[in-house]
Amino acid sequence: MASWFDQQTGMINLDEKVAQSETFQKIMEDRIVTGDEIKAQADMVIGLLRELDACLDTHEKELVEKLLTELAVLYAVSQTAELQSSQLG
Amino acid sequence: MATFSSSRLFFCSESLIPQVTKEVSDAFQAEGFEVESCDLLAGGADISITKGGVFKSVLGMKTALKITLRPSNGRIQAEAGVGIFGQQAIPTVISMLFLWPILLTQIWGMIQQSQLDDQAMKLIEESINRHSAAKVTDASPKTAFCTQCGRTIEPGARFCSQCGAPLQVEA
Repeated sequence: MASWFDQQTGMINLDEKVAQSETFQKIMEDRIVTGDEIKAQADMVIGLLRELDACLDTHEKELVEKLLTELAVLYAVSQTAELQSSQLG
Repeated sequence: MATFSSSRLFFCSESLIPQVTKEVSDAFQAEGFEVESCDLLAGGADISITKGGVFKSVLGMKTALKITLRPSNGRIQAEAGVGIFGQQAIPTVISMLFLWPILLTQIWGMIQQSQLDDQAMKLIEESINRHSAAKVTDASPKTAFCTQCGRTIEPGARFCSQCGAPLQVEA
């Protein structure tokens, strides 16, 4: 499986998977995101988490859990910082 | 976000913004970068600088070094940061991407490592110095002031020691 990082630049390339994703392309095709589309995507993510939950060994599960948690933290604090910036003007 | 940008205030007339914009754009183009500039509605200018293989694309859009020149109380506020080529703001679909904080960190790291932001600030300063010869007001033979930043000037000085503006003594 290809690395998550560009071999030459070291940049993460997972965002390219998002752009290529069939689900992303299908939902964004009409530029309108509906509640049903969000629910379907959320259900898919939950399904993938259950699959991982069942097949990973203890160490792998700890790593993935840490990654998902810290990624959520990074996203939450980045969004908070953006809101703070816009409020300060 | 200040973490992923650098800024500097230049003590010169904001009327220089169009000339500075053109000269900075030309300089980066001469180095093989793709450059686009536009005027801002609130005043000032926005310059996008990118190069394939250096700046990655995110969701099909080219990331870029963004230089913004804004008028600020008769002076020029310059800011260097990460943006999307040809766009004044980062599109929501990118800023809301949960991977964006990681990409932003990496792209800004690359800009700082290759000193592109420093290079941009230096080009801005050089352009300003070429077009903005500060005049020295001789209040007395022993007292002279730079009219760009107000610093006291030593007699015979050719450049202001604070803001670097070239000086010429008024007759």
